[in-house]
Amino acid sequence: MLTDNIRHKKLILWGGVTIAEGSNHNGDDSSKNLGKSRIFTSKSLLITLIGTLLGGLVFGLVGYFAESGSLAIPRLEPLFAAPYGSVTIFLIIFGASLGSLIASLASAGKLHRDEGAEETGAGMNLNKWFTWGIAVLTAAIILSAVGYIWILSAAYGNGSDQDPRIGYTMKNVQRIPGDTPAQVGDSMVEIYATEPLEIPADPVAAAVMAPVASARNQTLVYGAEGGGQGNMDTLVEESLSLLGESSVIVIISAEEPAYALPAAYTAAYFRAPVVPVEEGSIPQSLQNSLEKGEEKVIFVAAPERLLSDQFLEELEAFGEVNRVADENIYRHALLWARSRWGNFGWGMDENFHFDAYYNFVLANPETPEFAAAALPLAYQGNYGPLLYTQSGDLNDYVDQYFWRLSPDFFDFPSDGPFMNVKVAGNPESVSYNAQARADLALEVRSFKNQAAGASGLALLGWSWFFIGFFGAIWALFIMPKRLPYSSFYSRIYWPMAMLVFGPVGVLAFLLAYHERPVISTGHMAKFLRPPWARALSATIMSSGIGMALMIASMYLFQFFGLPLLRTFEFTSLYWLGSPMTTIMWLIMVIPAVIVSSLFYMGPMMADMREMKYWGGVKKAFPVVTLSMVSASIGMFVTAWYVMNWRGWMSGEDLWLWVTPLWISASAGFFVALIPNYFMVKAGWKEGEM
Amino acid sequence: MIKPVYTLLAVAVLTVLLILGYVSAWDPQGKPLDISTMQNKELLELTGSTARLSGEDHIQTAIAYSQTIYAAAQDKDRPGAVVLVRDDDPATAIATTRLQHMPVNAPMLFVTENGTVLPEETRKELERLGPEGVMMDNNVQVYILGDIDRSVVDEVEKLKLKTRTIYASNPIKFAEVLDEYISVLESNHRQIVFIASTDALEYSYPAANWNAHMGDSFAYVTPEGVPEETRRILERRWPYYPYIYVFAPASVVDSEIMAELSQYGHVQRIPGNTPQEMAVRWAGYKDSGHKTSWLVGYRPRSVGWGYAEPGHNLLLANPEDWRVVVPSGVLSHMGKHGFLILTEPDGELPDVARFYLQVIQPEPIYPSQQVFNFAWILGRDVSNETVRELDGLLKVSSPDNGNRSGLTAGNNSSLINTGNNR
Repeated sequence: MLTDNIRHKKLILWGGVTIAEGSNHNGDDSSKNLGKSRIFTSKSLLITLIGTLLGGLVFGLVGYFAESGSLAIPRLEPLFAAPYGSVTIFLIIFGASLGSLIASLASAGKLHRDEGAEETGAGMNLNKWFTWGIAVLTAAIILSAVGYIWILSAAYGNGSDQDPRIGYTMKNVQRIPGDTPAQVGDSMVEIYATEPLEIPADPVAAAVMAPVASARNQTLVYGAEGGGQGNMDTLVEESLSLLGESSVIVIISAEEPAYALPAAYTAAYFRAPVVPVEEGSIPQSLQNSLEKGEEKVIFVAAPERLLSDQFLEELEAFGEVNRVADENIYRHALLWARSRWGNFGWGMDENFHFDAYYNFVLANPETPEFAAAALPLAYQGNYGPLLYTQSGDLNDYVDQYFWRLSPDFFDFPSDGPFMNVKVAGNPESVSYNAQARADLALEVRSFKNQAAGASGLALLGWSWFFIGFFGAIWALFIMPKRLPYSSFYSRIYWPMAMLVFGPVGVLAFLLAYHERPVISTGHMAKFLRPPWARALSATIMSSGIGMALMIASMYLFQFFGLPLLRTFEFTSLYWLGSPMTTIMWLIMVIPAVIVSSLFYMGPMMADMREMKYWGGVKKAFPVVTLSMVSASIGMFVTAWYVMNWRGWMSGEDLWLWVTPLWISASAGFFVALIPNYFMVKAGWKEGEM
Repeated sequence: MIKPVYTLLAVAVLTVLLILGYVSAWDPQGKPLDISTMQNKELLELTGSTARLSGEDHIQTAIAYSQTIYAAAQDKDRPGAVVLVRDDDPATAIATTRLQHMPVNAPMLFVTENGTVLPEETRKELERLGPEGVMMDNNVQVYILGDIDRSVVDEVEKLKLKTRTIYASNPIKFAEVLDEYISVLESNHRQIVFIASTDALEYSYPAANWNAHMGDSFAYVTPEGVPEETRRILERRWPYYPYIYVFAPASVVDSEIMAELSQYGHVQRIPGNTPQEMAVRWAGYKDSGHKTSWLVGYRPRSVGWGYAEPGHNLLLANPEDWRVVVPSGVLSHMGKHGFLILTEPDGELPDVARFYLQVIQPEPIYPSQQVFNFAWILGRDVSNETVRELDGLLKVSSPDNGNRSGLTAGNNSSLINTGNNR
């Protein structure tokens, strides 16, 4: 066999090794056939596949329900800045990786070494503790870096003392002046300067009269002193006589006006009459209006608790009846903002919006009077629907809705689109922090880099990362279980390689270990592989740890601030001082080469060739340098291209951070394969561990 | 060998400890704002499509801009840094706005008394902002620019903020020093170069706002000609060449200076005989084409806002006080990303602005597709009447009194469609 011949030559090249007939797999004293390595049995493979499917299904369902707006994922709302579907795709990949990890580890049977086969690398020594310790530290730095992105997003980070603020105005959210609903009402006149329509301090009256004011081009003034004290029946009659032509009628419950107001905002813009009713009684004026003219469509903006299904059946005598309501008041308001029926309804669907300019009013459902007083915002100026939030933190559903809406720019941020919110309420009703959250979510961002939010590109990067992350844990446990002849070093660098190379690392692992004959050469076991697979294994060996070290040091430098030297300013070498070019390369590659030579490749080569430690380091240094330099060239060129030319640049605490780094790391791996192939051919390294 | 579970535990514990370490470095949680919403409502007056941003004086007005953009209520709405400039050196401040752009991401605040005093309000705002630090330059949090006294640097550093000083004795020199710093930061010399005259700075206000938004190069000429510093800036674009845009009419920068500049690269003059006219023409200006190209690749040029359709935002300022105008660059940099329009010195809208605003006024359409305009009103020197007039020109045109009410006849059968139509 070809492989055997090559291996044979190799064994002779090793010199000091006591193998005379390398191709002889059995019966030989020093080279013993130990069978084939097998990571999966057909049973464990089946269980693993089931785990993959189950994990993907469960997490995928969570993603689907979250994206369709029926489930809120609190504190991770910024994930929804990515396009529709991407959170689901990410969660499917996350769940499938996690499921396969659990199923595979649960189903893998433990293999043992043959009696008499020597313990590879024997016990721990100081150098091995260093090797292990550095790997643990490097992995922890990388995981803390990526973990912090999630922690920071969920925790928000502390805000400053806001004492020096002049007021509440923010770039995407302003606040209507008014600590009471009546003051908000007064502010409406100042804001719109149109003819006022004064109404009493009653949210139901405001809901009824807003469409009237809208049709007459007036500004509704809530709770104005001496504002019309007419009883509700008169107001409803006035509304029905003015807006009787409308083909839509909105029915609200006179109780709990918080449910009525989102519908009133819609009705005010579309000039449809709003009629408050009580369970079981249909007002005469409404009956009259419904009986004459064309058949109307009736929208009921109250949950079953307030107006029962039986009552709705009674209404059906007069026309088509639709309940548009959700018991959850926050979702109720979102339902009205999102929906559209023919030419009625805002239709601000967060998942299918392109270049939309939406404005919203934000109020607290516990103080619906503020929302009622701000009703002119539904039909004047930069108008839009009403959304609700609790006081302390922006409501999860609304936050998720805003992040999904968050405008994307494609050429310049000034191109838009833009979104804006106006808050109605005092700070007890809607806090400064809830306002600031909306302001952050609705900022216009580059499509590919949502900065504080996650872009589709970022979620692809995270999918890639999590495959590697779960793969690393898997390798950590599966190697002692299924590959009893794997060495101390390979059990460290394979998990590390998966962590930084993601699916590429997982695939390389399967190619390197699946069904490979294992032989014992006396002092250690070897996996027999064709040359390309040996190059693969050798590349992982020399660049897995090195790449992890490079990513870890990159993170630490970003965290503490990259060095910038002004030394070369005003010369043609000014760019030498730039953090993005030479300096970064040096601080990433040099420590990686040194650590890798001293604690990984060095002792490993010494072990394999039965040399002294320093002999191994000397052998390893050129091999590591060549590997790391080529890997870093692949990595830097890719990183430079995607960051400078494709706009993937990101800070170390933002969602997009992983994508360019992990993709560049894999690019580095593929570049490093080339010299490694030749090094394996030349016998500088073996790739048989 | 070490059991895998110990390795996993060791990594997990160390990861958690490291994250706790990062979190412990956060500043303590501050008090959220709970003042009356009525407070300062004249300074922050709203209309349907505009909002005023102003303070009691120019120091506070600059702070109002900063507070509008950076809520500092959580980690991600803080700036990267703050740029501090003297309040009596407009030419340096105008040249500085390009630094406010990414990756620095900074508001502009003032230092008073010939650059010797850090005003109390500015100090408080620095503390409120708690800048994150510029990752690309040692996590610098405050830039101190131009001829500012060392005592101010010391005072800022006493707040435990990391500083970077970019010093020059005069604005012409400053433009060159800053250009070189930014070139190191970006490892590239920006090819787009804006030229203003030290003699007529008000023409360059719109360029200053653009630069906070795009970060292009900026240099000065004088009535005497092209200074040595500016020549060096233009030469340093080598191996490429500069695209030069001059923000001054022929009465300020004559054809001789223009010819002089043309020796270095592509030169254009932004049209307009008054600062008001130039601001409007710049809002509609777009010069596209070649910037850099190689055998196969290229980077195109796209200079100017170039807007002639609705859906954009603007800043309206009275040009009389530069200290109200120049710090507004941060409003072009984030949020509404508005371009600058100037009133007449008496605070009225110029006719040229009225015509332009008609060009970009939105037409009414179904609300899910409606496009809106918005404006920030800068400072207190724009009268309420002007704001009212502007509001009328910005809002969706001709408030349609037609039949919005509900569905058109005959549409009822296919009425209920809660799907994804829009």
